[in-house]
Amino acid sequence: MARIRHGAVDSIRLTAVLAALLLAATPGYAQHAPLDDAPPVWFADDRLPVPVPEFAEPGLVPYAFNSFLGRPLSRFFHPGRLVRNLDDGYPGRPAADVNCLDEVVASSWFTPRLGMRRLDDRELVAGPALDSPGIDGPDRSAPWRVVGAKTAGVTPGFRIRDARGDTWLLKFDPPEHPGMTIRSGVVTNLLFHAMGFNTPVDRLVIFDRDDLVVDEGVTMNLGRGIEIPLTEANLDSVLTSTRSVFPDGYHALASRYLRGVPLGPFDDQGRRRDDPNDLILHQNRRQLRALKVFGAWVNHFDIKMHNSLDMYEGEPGRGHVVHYLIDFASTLGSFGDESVKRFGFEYGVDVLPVAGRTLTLGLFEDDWISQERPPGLSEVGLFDVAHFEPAAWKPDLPHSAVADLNRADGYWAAKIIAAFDDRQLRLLVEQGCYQDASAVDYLARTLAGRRDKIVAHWFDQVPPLDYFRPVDEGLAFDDLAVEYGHADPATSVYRYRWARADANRDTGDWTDWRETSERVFRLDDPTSDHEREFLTVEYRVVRDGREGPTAKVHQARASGRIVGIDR
Amino acid sequence: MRNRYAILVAMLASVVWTMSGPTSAVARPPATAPDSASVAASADTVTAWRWGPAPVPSVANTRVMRDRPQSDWEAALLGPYHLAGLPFRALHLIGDGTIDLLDSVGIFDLPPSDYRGFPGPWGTYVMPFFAVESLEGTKFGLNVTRPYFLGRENILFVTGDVSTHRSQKVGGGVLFGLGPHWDLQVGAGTEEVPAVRYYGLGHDSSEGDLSYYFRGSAWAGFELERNLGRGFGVVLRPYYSRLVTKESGYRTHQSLGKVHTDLMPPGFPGESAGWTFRFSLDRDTTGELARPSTGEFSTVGASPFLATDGSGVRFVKFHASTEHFVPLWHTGRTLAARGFFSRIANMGDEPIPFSRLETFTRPDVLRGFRDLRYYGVGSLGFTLEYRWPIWNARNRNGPGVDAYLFSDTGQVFEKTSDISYNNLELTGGCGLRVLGDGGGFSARVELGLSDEEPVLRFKFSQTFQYRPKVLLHGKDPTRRR
Repeated sequence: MARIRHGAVDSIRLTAVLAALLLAATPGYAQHAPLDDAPPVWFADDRLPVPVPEFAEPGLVPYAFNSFLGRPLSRFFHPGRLVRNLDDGYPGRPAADVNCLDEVVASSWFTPRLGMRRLDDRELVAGPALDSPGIDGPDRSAPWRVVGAKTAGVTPGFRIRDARGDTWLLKFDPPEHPGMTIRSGVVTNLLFHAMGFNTPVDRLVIFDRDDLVVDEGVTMNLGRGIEIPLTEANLDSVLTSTRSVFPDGYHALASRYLRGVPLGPFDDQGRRRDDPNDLILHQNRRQLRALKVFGAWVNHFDIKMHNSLDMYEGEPGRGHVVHYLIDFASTLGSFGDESVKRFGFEYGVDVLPVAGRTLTLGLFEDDWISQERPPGLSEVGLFDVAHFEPAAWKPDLPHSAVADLNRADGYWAAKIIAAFDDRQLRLLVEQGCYQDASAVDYLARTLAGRRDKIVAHWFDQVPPLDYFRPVDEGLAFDDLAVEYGHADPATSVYRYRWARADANRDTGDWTDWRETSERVFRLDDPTSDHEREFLTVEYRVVRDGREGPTAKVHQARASGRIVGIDR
Repeated sequence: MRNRYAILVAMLASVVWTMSGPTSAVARPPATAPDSASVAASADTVTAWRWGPAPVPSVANTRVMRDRPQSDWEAALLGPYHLAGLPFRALHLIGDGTIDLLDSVGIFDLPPSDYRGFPGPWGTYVMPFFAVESLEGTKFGLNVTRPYFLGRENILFVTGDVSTHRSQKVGGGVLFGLGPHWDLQVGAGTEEVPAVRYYGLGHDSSEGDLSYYFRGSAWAGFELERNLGRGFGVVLRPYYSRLVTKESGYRTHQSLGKVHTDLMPPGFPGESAGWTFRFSLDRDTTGELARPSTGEFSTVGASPFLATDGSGVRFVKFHASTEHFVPLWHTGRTLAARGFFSRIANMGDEPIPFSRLETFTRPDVLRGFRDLRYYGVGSLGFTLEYRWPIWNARNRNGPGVDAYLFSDTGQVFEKTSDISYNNLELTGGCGLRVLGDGGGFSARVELGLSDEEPVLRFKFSQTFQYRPKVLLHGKDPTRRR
């Protein structure tokens, strides 16, 4: 059965690719940039002074309408995506914010951190508060002044101002699940910061009632446009309703207001037209596409645009826009008032599973229905390893950037996740101040298990050979699967061949395939082709006798630089 | 590999970079970027980044990043794509604009409420609605709910609508919560439907004899309900009603008088007025409003009628129905079974006006036929419905959509001897049930099939667990069980 289906798909792919080739006589199908013997780019020049853009925040429903209907339909019929999808199973164009080494460059969106370099414990735990006074949360030298409150929505919250003058949002758990979302929010904030995203300072704070005083003239938003004065008495009642009282005091997530001018969330598709620095379609940004992998890891199903925020930093007219991800409360299996098993497995409206269930008359059950919360751990939601399938993970709302993720994007994200070791994961989970040590054990273990599944999947999509460097004998590299303990070096063999290439990647004659178990491609000059200035090595990994996919690395003959990696 | 990292170098580099910021001001020292050539030249150098020393922004390693240019082949394909997509884009723009408009007036920001509708004056909730009904046509109406009406437990409900087929209705009622065990509804209303179907009396009426007549009704009464515990409840509903039937001013070419000239039904045209005293015993152990997987929902009752129009009509209508829900193999898969039986016993000498006879109408329906397909002094039926969830907004027992397959079998009869296997009508079909917040039923769309014309229904009521709340909701009690 499987053979027949694959055969049919292969035929369709072949036909479609041939048709596309015939239709358009396609130079540069793969859309790789020409090879250039120059140092790699590591920084995007996207902090030019710009005027302050307008604040813009579309409503959730219009955004959801577009995300569920308009954008998926548009993507489905897009001929370019169709051809690419038939060609290699990934419809997105190559990411545009990467350098020739296939790494995401530093920008106002992203800063390479873990995976690119080592982070010590202090830096991991401090996250965005590193070397700032907010590392321990709001200043405690004086009571926190409550300057705003809301009771509408799933959970109540307060805006407080500390003695340093910083404004923080105090967020609580839904009353049904005290201690769940605030802790996951803190932990995942630190995980995402370590990955390289811009995030606000989110801290778990423990405080007493005496730590809060109500400012004069503060009102409380009750929803439906109703506001009443906030008094000490109704502050008491709101605090009681949160049920966030633990033996050592109230627990809350304190999120520091970002500095600068808020501009509203950034969309997962298109560009911000009034920001001249925003030159790459957001769906072509690898770090946004990779939210599929990062989101899958922590089950951050709520990666909608409203959980992002653009901030204008600097003096008006002399500053620039910085892009943040915010609000990580709905992660690690946490949820609002109800545990929802579908999250992470299906979109809010997912046509294919619905059609499947309709046509099969309910005879089959979805696997994810059998998920259960870990017994006895009230602070942990639906989060496990057994049901997790990295490739099948979906956010609640279809996400345009996630939809364009390709194998190179997925591999890049996976190698960042692989860089978190078990000890670091436990250290970060501990920052959630879980009351039950078993919860820390469980979450750290589950994160590690999901990490391993992600790595196993994405390191199987491309050969996980990286960090190529010229050596006397040829080209040395690291096998990340071996390095991170996901593959046995004893059963790993590297097959490769090479050829001279020009800047457009047109190659001369290829050598025969060679095999080695060392992490060096031994290259001798095979031809007298002196016109082509680059050397292209094609390689694949054979593990336990199974041959994996192929990739290419390009080296400049003159300088020895690595000038391109095609995954 | 990791021991090749130099933490100190990394931190220093990152601090330098953080403090300086990778801005466009790249007039900094030339690159010491993690260039693979430099790595090769200093193989023993302790590196900070995986690709070499931590880079510092410079002209050489900083660039304005842009989207890659589109391939020629893709650009060539996009022209036809955009052209062919124009109508769809137009449709999408309309949809998008509508949603944006609704959003701009704040409709989606309304917080959840126990009552449907928008906050109105005097503490009311106002809900406009429209519906497509086979008899009334397209209806436009307004429901107004006023909780806390003359008391904390009381609710006032008023409804009114008009339709494209010139039907109109005004009705309403008040629910008085009388503590944990008692409920009292009072209500009244009036309704006119210009085109009600009539095919003839008895189980052998023909589809080809379809005709239409005008039906006007008015009612007033109260309903007292007592919860007896353990799922049991008793209901007493005395009400006065007046029914007028006459030739339809609508679809006059198919009026009842023209189609059934030789065999006019009793009481047509005419008027029937009188008191009905309905008494029933109910049992409900389902526990859920819309998606029960276990339990029973049964009722047995009698409804004596005494005419006050001088006709001397007297009869008693007996009715019984029972529903059972059986959980099946997976979550939410349920078999629902329902049986019903109704019989009118004429206690006087006068024929019962046909407008008060038994007919297939909610909830006692054969869904493969149109409503009111058969009239008789009695009816019976049996339904099997297999349900399974196909979409849930959150969890299996929450808001979502269930699909179902059903089979309805039944007949009307003039006398008990008419009840026969050969006279049973078999219908079937499939449908989708929309379940709202809190698991309450919202709507259904279904296709009914029989040996007659297929019937497509879109309804806001369900066949199982039918809770008419007749008087409170301004519904005509003469057309409800």
